[in-house]
Amino acid sequence: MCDKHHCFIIPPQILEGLARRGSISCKKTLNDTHRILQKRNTVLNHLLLREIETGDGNRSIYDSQNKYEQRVQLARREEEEATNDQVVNKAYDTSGFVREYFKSAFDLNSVDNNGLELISNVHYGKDYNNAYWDGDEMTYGDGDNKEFKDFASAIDVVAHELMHGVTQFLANLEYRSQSGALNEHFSDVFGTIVKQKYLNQNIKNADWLIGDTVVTEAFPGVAIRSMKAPGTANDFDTQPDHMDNYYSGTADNQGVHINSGIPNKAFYLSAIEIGIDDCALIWFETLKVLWRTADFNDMLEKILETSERLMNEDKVCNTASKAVSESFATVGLVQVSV
Amino acid sequence: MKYEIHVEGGFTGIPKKYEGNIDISEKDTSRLLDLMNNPNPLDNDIRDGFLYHVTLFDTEKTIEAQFDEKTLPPIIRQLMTG
Ligand SMILES: [Zn+2]
Repeated sequence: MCDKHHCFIIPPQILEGLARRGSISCKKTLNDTHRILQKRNTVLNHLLLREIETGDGNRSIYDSQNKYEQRVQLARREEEEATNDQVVNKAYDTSGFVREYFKSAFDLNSVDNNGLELISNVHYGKDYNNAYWDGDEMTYGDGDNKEFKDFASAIDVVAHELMHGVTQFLANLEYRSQSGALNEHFSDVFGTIVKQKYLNQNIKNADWLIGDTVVTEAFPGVAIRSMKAPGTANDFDTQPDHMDNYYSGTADNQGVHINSGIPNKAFYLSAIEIGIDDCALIWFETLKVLWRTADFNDMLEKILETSERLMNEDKVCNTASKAVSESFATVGLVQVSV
Repeated sequence: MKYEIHVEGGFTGIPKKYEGNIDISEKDTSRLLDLMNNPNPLDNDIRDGFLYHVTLFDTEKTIEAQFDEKTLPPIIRQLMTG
């Protein structure tokens, strides 16, 4: 009932109900944004002429030359020699590392599993203290060098932004309230995992910090966020680590960078118990079955189902489900039996 | 004309506030008011972009508008970058 011709006329609440019950095709339709629909129409039109081409996830690094514009000057493409600009080279190397991680761990072909070109814009704006994913490509500022610096060189920042791309194509979690906090959570989770791989760290000696290399000495804190101890990374860090302290205000798209601290802490606790690789598989497989409006309780339900399934398939250790369940309980998220 | 810009969101999630007086020509003022009264729709696909809540205090009224990374007019960005 949910082929590409029929789903468009089914009301979203019905699609959501079917997605909850595990209908992948309904989940996909519910997740489609206007932009994705436009792309799909373009692809369908092209189908009349030729087969859909799969890309190779090739990298292109553009220099914004301190303008507030993307794709100003192409600085380095896939397989080209390093340039004299170390920010360009770092963006090239880190995005390549993230791409290879997802390929080797999950056989994912770029962020969309269809070889989407990985486009990065560096030197964006003047003293620009940010990095973002815009639905198609990444953009990094140099920072003001007073509080922040080198966004494009930070492996966890690059992995975080690229993960927003992965989430967009797998679940397209709506960027507000709890679904938005989950969107942020998945980016922090894989930012952390990729960082530990890149630095050859393990769960014992990892710092569990996000953005520790983008803050300056003058910044009042050690990083942007902490997976281990949400709310302690800097003087402005208001992330809760328990549902008791859930932020219910309207700022930051209803707290997408704030309430992500709650599942972030659950991830840390799980990783300490069962290791980061089992967690990576569980979290990635869970994302694949989530949908646009999924909330924290939906996440808990699906991550427990996923843990059980992966345990039965001998893909994760046999204590995974218990560890995940206890970790989420520790942050105040317990499954309500019906 | 006084202004206030509240910036929130972004990768850091740390809010920031800018305020001051705009000293611009009558022509630019009229262009700015036009931009404030007719902001482009926000881009729902941006993740970690800043959100800019802009308030202008005109002599007679207060005008508010919200912009994102893709829709922020350069004239307003200049107020923050100097
Ligand atoms: Zn993010």
